[in-house]
Amino acid sequence: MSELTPQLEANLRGPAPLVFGAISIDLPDASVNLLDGAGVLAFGGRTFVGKDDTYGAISDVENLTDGTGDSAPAFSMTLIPSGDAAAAVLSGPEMQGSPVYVWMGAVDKTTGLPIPDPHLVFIGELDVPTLKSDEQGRLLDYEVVSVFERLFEDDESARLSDGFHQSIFPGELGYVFVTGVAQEIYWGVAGNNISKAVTSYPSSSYGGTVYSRQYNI
Amino acid sequence: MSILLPQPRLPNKAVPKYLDFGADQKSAMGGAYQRLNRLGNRFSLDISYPRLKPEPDGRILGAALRRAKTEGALFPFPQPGLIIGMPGVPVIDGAGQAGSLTVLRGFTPGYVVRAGQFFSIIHGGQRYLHCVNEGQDWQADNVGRLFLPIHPILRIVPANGAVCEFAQPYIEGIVSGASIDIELTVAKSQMPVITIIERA
Repeated sequence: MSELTPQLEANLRGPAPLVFGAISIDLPDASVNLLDGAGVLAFGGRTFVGKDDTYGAISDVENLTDGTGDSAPAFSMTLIPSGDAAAAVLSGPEMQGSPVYVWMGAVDKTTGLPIPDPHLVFIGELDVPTLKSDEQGRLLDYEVVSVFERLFEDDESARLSDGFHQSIFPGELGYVFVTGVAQEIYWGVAGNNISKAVTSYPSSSYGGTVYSRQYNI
Repeated sequence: MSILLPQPRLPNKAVPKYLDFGADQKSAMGGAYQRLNRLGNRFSLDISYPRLKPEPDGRILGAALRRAKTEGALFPFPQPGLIIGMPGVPVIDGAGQAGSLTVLRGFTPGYVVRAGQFFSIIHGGQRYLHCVNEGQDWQADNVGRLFLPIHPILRIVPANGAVCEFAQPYIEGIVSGASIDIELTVAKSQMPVITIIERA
């Protein structure tokens, strides 16, 4: 329990703590900050609500599980989109890879403020959205994977060719007229300027700190 | 916009329910029980009517109920026996309030809010039902200002000046159930048990 602040730890040890879970999804156009229950809480520069008027509410969240072997830590969550437009936006392909943060914490019942500080449990990315419509509802399932998922990229598509080179360094014409490369250059060696193509994530207790390379294809 | 359900007569039974999303964590083998609270506790109300006259009561209430199924329902929250008096025009005093202690202004000076009295806050066009805590009655001061401990904790951050309905609180929410069944029998209409659940 040492990762929690003393205040949070003391509150959770009390006879009847008021706990909450919070999820942030930083979509390309907007940040969706949702609580598991109805309410409003502000922390970490974000204001969390039970229901986002534009995007909807959390239905449920699966257990966070660690991954073994060739699977990364992952969980799935179910959202209730607030309307057709929200369902379409949230299940769009460009939402994939959006950072997802999961916090847990406790609330002071009198002031309604979160006990400092809520614990950041998980950082990951949106993986696969699945929109399910049936007789009595419409739900959106999201698979969320840890950034460790990026470690399983085996770079099979990386080629020392003009097309691939320019997909990472646009406008860099060093390979334009190269039809066969005599000397192979390995990715990731010192001297490669790949700063623009790297995303860094802050550390969480679950996701760890990982730098991932994003191909701008 | 929620539909106000008419009351052709008083319901013969109303069951206010406090919806609890927390958990009593029970140890199966005799260990200590633990209480875990979660956000979002709120109210629902079951309303039972006796058999109504089909004309006009059953017809009108039936129409309102069918529309309320899709639009949401609004119903005056019953507090039988409570003499509410003249509360004045209470509103939320100050923006950014949260938790279970609210500050209100605009009461009739000296008005006494009873322990356990219900009121609804209007926020964003929707009503949120709350109850004053037990323990003591609370009297407004000579300018009509009052600190009120309430439950459940605020689920919204009401604006400064948000209207608080003490004279007649309302419950607003969805009508539970997959269909609206109104039973027509000889010279009578039987309404279903109407369950109104607060949205948030």
